[in-house]
Order: sequence, then C-alpha cells, then structure tokens
Amino acid sequence: MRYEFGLIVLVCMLASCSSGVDEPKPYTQAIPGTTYTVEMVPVHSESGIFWISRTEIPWDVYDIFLQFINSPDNLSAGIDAVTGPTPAYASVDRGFGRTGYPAISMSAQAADSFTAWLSLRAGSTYQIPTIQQWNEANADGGGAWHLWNSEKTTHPIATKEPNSLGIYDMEGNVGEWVRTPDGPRVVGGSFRTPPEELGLNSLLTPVQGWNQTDPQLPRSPWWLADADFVGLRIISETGETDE
Amino acid sequence: MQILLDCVSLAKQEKQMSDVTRRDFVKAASAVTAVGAVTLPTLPGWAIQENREPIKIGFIGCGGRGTGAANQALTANENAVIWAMGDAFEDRLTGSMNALVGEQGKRAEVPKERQFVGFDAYKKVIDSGVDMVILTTPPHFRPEHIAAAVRAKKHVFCEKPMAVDGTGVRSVMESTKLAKDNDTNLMSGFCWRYNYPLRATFEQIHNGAIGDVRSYFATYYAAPLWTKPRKENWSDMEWQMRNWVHFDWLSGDHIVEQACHSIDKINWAFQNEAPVSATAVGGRQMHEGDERGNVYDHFGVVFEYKDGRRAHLHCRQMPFSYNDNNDYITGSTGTCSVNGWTGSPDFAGSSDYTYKGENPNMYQVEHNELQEAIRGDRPTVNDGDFMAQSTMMAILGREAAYTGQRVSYEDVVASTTRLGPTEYALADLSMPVVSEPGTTKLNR
Repeated sequence: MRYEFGLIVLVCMLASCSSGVDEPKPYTQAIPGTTYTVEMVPVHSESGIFWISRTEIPWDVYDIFLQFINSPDNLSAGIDAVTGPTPAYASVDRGFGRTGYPAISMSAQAADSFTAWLSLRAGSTYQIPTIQQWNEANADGGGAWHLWNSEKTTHPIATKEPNSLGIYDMEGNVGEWVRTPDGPRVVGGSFRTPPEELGLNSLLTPVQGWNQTDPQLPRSPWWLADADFVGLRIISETGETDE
Repeated sequence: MQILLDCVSLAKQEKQMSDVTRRDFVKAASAVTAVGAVTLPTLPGWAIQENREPIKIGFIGCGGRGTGAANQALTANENAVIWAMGDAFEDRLTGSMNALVGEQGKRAEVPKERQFVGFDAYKKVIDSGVDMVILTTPPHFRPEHIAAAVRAKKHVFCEKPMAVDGTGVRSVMESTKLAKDNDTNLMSGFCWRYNYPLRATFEQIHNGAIGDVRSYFATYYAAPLWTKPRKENWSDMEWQMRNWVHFDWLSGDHIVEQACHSIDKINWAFQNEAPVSATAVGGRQMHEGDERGNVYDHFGVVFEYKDGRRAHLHCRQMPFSYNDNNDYITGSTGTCSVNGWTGSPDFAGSSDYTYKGENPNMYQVEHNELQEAIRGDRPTVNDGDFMAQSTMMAILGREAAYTGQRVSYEDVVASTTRLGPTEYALADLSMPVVSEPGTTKLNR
C-alpha cells in the first residue's frame, strides 16, 4: 500500500517534470498604488486551473475601488470613465465593521464593475467565479460563521479555519456572487443561514426585495438596501502575470 | 319632529356644500363609496372612464429621494396621479418622470404644460389644481415652499430637514399653526416616526420602561456623499445647487441634512422638550476641494436640558471609517439601545421588552398614513411641532460648532441669520466661506 502510494507520487512528479509545467502556486495580487493585496489560491478543475481569492473581498479593498470610481479624475473622464458604485446615502455596511470585514450589499452589477476595475488596475483578467468554479473551490473542511454563531453580524475575514485548499469562509459569513447560465446568483450561505443550509444548498436568486427600502428612485443599481448578507470573491483564469 | 330635524340638517349640509372645497370633496367622496361619477372637465380620460376621483399630487423637487416619495405616494393610493411637477432643472424633472412612469405607468405621465422648470416652479405647481404636494427640493427652499402650500390649503409631505437656519424654522412654525387652523395635513419626512419597531420602542420609554430618560447618545457615522464635477456651461449657482449637500446654505450641513434623523429621535425621547443650550466641536478634516463646498465633515454636540440631563450626538462623513448609526438611551432604571438600521430595540435593566411585530417599509408607511388622513380614515396629521423643533435642534448643534460658543436654544430660535442668496438666478455666486469657531457669529 505504502509502495503504491510512493509510486503514484513518483509518477506524478515525473509527469510534472516531463510536461515542463510548474505546479501552480498561490500568488499575491497587489492593488497598484496602494498597500493592499489579494491572495489568490490555485484550484484544479475539470476545465483546467484557476485561482480564487483566499478570502472574501474586504471593505479595505472595495473602498479603494469606491474611492477611484468617485474621484474627480474618474468622474470627469467622460467616456473613458469607469462606471461603478456612487456613494450610498445610507450606511450600507450596516455598522457591522469596516476594516477587515467583508464588503457587503453590492449588486451583481457592482461586483462585475469591481472585477473590471481590478482587471484594469492589475493588467490581468479578474472575474466573479462561475458556480462550477465556486463549487470546485468549496473543498472539505473549513469553519463557517452562520446563523447560530454569528450574533447576526458579519465577522472579519479569515477568522475561522480554512478549507483543505487553504481558502477561508467559502461557506457562511457572507454569501458570494457567482455566474450561472441563468444569470448571477448568490451562493454559500451567510451569517444569516442555518449551518445545515450552507454551501451549494444556499443558492439565492436576486429579487427586488433585496433593494426594497432604498428611499430613492431610481433605486441604486449598485447597492442593495436590504441584502446585508451578499458579498463577493474573485477568480483569475490566467494566474500571476509577469510585469 | 324627526323629519323636521332631518330637513334642518339637510339644509345645513347644502349650505356647507355650497362653499365646499375640492379637498373636502375628495375626503367626502372617498368616505361614501357609492358616490356617483363626477366628471370635472380637468380629469384625465381614464379617470372619467373608470369613475374614479383621483388625488392630484404636485411634486416639487425631482431628485432621487423626491422621486422615491412620489412613487410611494402613488403606491399608497391607486387613485393618485402626479398632476404637476416642478424642478429648477429640466433634466432632473424629465429623468424623474421617466423613472416614475417606469414604476407606475400612466398615473405618472405629466403633460408638458404642467411640467414647470425654474425657481418659481413651486408656485405654478401649487396653482395647477393639486390636492397635495411633495416638497423635496434642497432644504434651503423648504420653508418658502411649505408656507406657499399651506397658505393654498394643500396637504403637504415635506422631506427633512425643514429649514437650514432660524429664520426658516420660524416660518415653518407659522405654517404649522396655519395648517392646524385649516385642518390640512402636514407630514414630515422624519421617517423613523413611521417605523413600527421604533414607535413601539418610544412608547415603552415614554411609559417608563427605563425610568426617566437621563442621557441619550446618538451616532451617525457615515461615508462622504456624492459630488458632481462642474460642467463648463454651469453657472456658479447651478454648480452649487447640483452639489447642494456640500453647501451649508442649501443643505444646512450634514448635521442638519442627515444626522437630523438622530436628533429627531433624541427629541422624540425627550417628548419634544427643547434643550436649554448646546456646545459642540466640529470641523473639516478630510474634505478637500471646491466640490466639497463649505460644510464640515464631523460634529460632536452636547445638548443640555434643564435639570442637568444631556443628549450627545456624534456624526461624521468620512471615508474608510467605521460606520455606526445607533442610539444609546440611559434611563434612571434601565437602558435601551436602538439599531439604526432596523429600528429594533435592545432593552436592559428594568425592562426586557422585545419587539415582535411587523416592520413594514417606513417610507411607504408615511404615504399610506398621509393618504388615509386625506381620505378622512384617520385624524389629520400635523408633524409641524416636532419637525420644526428637531430641525431647530440640528441647527443649534451646527451653530454651536460653527461659532465655538455655548449657544442657547432661545438665541438660535431668534437668530436673524438667513443663509444663502436672497435672489435666485442661475448666475454668478461667490463661494460660501467655511465657518471658523471663535470667529463666526450666530447672527451673520
């Protein structure tokens, strides 16, 4: 048995050497012009390798994006401006916490806008994961902030155990936007989800009720006034770029 | 004998009907469901066809929040129509109407002849034959608009705050009295007054759940609001108006424009008892550039009541910072904190009350209750006293910070300050100065 295992390892190593491809590694994506970074973890999937952020995107990083979008430079850039979230009138973080806490309440359009902005900044394509990719990254293990231990608030990212791929908060804390053939969905469950319903069991279709109490009309296309359980995570299909 | 009495009362009714106002008619018509079709020539075709007597809404100040309020008014009453609209800028009016038509269809279609643009648009809307008005321009203009609407005996929904200076609040106090005399509705946009959990919470507090309220601490820590970069063809006036939240004369500063919600809750807890005075700190630490006007980005106010009770407010609009919009109330026998997002209370000490009822959208509740009052299904609403006082308290806090002085409530009520230009035109307008504690005067 032990011999067989050793053989498999040896074969794998040889295969890896013979193909000349390095084992994909985690990497750190810097946000140019800031001290903030996003750690990306490789995941092997049927359709190849992709990298997924080790954590849910925290406010620290999302705020850089918001600041850029609403900077005078971007606002007066005309057709070259990046469109994205306008400042919210209400406290869209619900007072749960800002530094180190997952960004919440963004619409699917805002999540896409975030990845578009990051791609531009990083010179490499970032996206919202497909539901298949999300599921492949949702490996065994990992702790979760859920309805019964969260005290009805989000918690700082990466404060429960990671899963076997080293990824935090795939299940619980905040639900995460994913792409599906039927449009954007929110998956994984959140601090408001009972533990038995976490993971793929919690697949939510956005509805108007998620933005019912926005006192403005048109209602914000960027912020969800009634969906404090929605956050985001990103993927890259190309991995680290040499620049 | 009975027949005679009936005849007398009938004659009385006829006399009353002879000078009946349109407002009374709407009230009466909806009270008597079997009322026959009345086809006034001004009604839209569909209303005549469907035998319905619409409530005609005049909508003045067509921004995002105003459009939301108009949508809620239409949702509250399927017989309501947007009859006329007014705004300083045509693009804002058109955009607003398109959004409303998208939500409510033809009831929001306002013909060109009743779309009014300019600083006097409010007069034309009020004179266009409406039953009620929605007043949602920048707050600077509110006192004048409230006064005109109340004088014309229109029902009013007016967003908070009601004014930006003592001069404006005094006008609102006069309008409040006139609306009471006329028995017309005057509803404020202090929306927490229409939040079910918070109503239950303050009912508990007023009934002694935490003893006497000794101290109140309220927070409104939020992020900076939007800015609109200047366009070449905009005059100074247009640029300031389109960036109205950043100019004290238009918005009252964020303590008056935004944190007034927290101040109104303080006022609610103290049952509309005016504070004696206020001291405050405030400043402009993060705001830079002309787009951010002349407002401060943080205030800390202590309102002093007689008998040494105090209420504290901290508010700020700063980026990347911890946000919190809560209320922490200390009574002589217990405490209550209120989550500013949901309005749900957390009692401790002498009460363990928890709210288990419904929590409908408070913005919709406002308009449902206003329409019910207009129909006569509930007593006439007059929010004037508390809305004027809460606005006055917010101005008191701002003035204590701006001047650096301990300012008495009495003095701010009597203040002769009137912020902003006295004549309105899309023309040159100097940049208002940033107030400096120790230098800026209460009467300026």
